[in-house]
Amino acid sequence: MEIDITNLETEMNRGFLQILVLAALEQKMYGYKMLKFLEETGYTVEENTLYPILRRLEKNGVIKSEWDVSGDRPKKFYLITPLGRSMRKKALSIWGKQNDILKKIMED
Amino acid sequence: MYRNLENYLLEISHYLAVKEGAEEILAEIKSHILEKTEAEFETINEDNISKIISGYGKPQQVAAKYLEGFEIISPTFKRHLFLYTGILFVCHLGLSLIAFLFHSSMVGFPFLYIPDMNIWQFIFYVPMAFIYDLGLVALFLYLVTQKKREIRLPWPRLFAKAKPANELRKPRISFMVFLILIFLMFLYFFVQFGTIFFASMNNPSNPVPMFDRSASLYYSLLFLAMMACEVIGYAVRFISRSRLLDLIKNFVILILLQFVWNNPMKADFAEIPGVDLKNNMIAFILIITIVVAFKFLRSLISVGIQQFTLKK
Repeated sequence: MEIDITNLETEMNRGFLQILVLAALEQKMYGYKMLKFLEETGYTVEENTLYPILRRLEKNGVIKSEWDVSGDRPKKFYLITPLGRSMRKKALSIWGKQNDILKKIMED
Repeated sequence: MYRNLENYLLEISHYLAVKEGAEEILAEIKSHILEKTEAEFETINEDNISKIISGYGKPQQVAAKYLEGFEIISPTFKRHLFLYTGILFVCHLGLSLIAFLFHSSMVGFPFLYIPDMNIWQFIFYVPMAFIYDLGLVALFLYLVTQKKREIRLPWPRLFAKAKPANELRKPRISFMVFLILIFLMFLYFFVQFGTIFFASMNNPSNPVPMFDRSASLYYSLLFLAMMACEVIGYAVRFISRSRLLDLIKNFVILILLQFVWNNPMKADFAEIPGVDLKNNMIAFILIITIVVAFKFLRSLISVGIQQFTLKK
């Protein structure tokens, strides 16, 4: 019997995607470009999932955005803020601890 | 301008109940779809846009992702919603019954208006009253949720721990026989004398009826019907001891009592010195009404609260 872990994967990705976004936004990027960037690293995310997360992170002040209207069509660019860097550091620390705990349990 | 894209964005906007930034969200989705269409198909046209849109998701799902964490009513209030509605509905129904039986209307602006109703209006009013109470409680919980403060709502133990809608007591054959005998005795009186209400039975072969013939017929038939309900209700317990059946039985008796109250004592009462038969009769009917109404509300609480709170 094949186990469906879609829900679990979605739950796990929820936090992980936020860390990924904070890591990726060291350089200015707009949504579509970020999707492609993440895809190149091997991580696939649905577009309708990414944008709401970007909006939530922006609302929390960890990333900021600005519209670039100079091209063919307007694009919304995102960039991490100092608060976001601080959050990313803490999030990576938590993630590291979680990994250590898991490794320890699995070794036992 | 691409019509399908505009329609898609318009539909998302219908579901996008955010306080601010809805236009910006839509602009970003539009920008993304156009960018992706160009990247994947090189040419932007309605056909290609449709393919990208189908992959982006249904409008309702897209909007829902932006609304995560914005509940209309906090899920933690789910049991409060049903408990409060149950309590409010019982009070509402009680007041409606009083208004209905005593032919009066009640106003408690702006939350309550119970009109003077006839039997059919009352039957239609009851489900509407429930929907109204549910809406009122939902509105209250919505406002509490939107406050986003930690508010501790009261949890009335009396109602929350109301006896579950367990089964009625096991019926006894002896009591069933007793009920049937009582009913048959009154039926015999009715067949024999045309009434079950007597002012005097000093002469058993020729008792004095309490009212004139037409009133005797009217009230006797109603009370016999009530007794029949009790007998049938008790008999049904041998098959099913559901509280819901008890609720239905009491409701039917209340309806019959309504016919008693809605036909004021215009009867010609027999005259017995020193005895006010009319007031005695009114007091008798009032006691029966109170007892049946109490039993009805008790069944309602038992069935309703259990149904709406503890099983949820």
